Formats: sequence, C-alpha cells, structure tokens
Amino acid sequence: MKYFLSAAMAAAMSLAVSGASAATFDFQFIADTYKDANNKQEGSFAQVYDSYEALFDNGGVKITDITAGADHAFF
Amino acid sequence: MAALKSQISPPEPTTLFFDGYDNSGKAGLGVCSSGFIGTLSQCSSNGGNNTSDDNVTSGEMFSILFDKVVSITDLYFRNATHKALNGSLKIGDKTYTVTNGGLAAEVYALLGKKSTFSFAYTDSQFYLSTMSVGDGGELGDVPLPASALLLIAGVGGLGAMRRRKTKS
Repeated sequence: MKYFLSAAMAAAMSLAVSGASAATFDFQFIADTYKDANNKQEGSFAQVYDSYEALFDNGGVKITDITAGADHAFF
Repeated sequence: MAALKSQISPPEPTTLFFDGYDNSGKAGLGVCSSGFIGTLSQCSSNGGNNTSDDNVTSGEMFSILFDKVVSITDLYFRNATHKALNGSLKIGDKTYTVTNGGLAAEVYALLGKKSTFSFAYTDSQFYLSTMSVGDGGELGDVPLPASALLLIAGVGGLGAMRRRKTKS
C-alpha cells in the first residue's frame, strides 16, 4: 500500500508540474447568462466581465481582458 | 449578431460585444463599432439603438488576453447568419481557412503558445462562439525535467521503504 501511495503521489505531482490543465470558454453561454439577467440586453465585454468575471476563470486558465483595437474607448 | 454593417457613419470607437441576437439563442464574442458609449446596451442594427453590428467586420479585430501562456486547442466561429463559418480570418498576423466553424486539426499547433491571441476580419464576418485552450507551460516548453525529478524522488521513496522493510 505504501508503495502504491508513493508512486501515485509522484505521478500526481508530476502531472501538476507539467501543467496539464485545459479550459473551454463558451462565449455563447456567457452572453446568454448576461442577457438572461439583464432584460435580454446585450453587453460589452466590460459590462459582462464586471458581472461574471468567474466565467472567464476556467480550468486554471483565466481571461484577464479582451480588447478591440487601439481605438476602443470602453475598456 | 446583425447581418450587415451600416456604412453611413464614420469610423467610431469599437467595443467588444456579447450578443444573443433577437433571443435566438445564438451568441458569442464580437465587436461593436459604437458611438453610443454612454447608453450602450444594444449593438445589433435589428432592434438595437445602434446602427452598427456586433460581428467582426471589415477593419475590426479583437484580442484575448490570458493570465498565462496557453495554446489554442479548439475554436468555433459563426458567420453573420449564425451558421458555422466557412471562410477565412486572421489569427495573429497569419490568415487561416475556417471550415465548418473551425480550423483543421493540424493547424492549432501552428498557432503557437502565447498569452494573447488576436482575431481579425479578412473576408467573412464572424463572431467567436467557443474557444478551448490548454496550458502552454508558463515555465517554458521543457517541464519534463521537473516531472522527472519528482518521479525519481517517488521511485527513490519506494526503494527506501523496501530497504527498511528488508532490514526489519
């Protein structure tokens, strides 16, 4: 049993260090979530992020910003 | 997402938009060229208070910033009529062909490992519906040595325990 635990621990730690995480960001779900809570109104990234930042943090990967070019004025 | 972009107004600041067009259930991440920053709540020309659309259209792009280096493993784009995109778009500085909403499987590896990915219009209006990413390994492309050390430590632990057991 001890052998098994030792080997399992090494394998688990090995996985953690090699960073085998993955994430899927479902922008349709995010949009629908925002619209459902806001009278079916559309939302800019800033508005959506303010309300649902957690939806951009997924599987160990986080979206910290989305920009739309040098001339954007809303972020 | 609106089908067509109005050409009557001069270039205006752009804003990223998440939209479910007319509550049809199709939505995603696009760009709204908007002059209504103060009252921005609708972008689509159909039913919105803006003459712009919220697809990525000519001259528009968006960039997604992550908190770490990632690799893209899957993308799904829709066109102006909410169907799977068939066309092309720019990711970074290269143009890629999109078929049935996504890239060919072997193309994802060519996108590289980065903390920022940009998507720009080339010949087809689009918006991004889903995106999957894998951890690109912030410590670099060689995490194996650290893993190997841990593995060796684990095997060493096994050996030590066996030795102790043999002595007793």
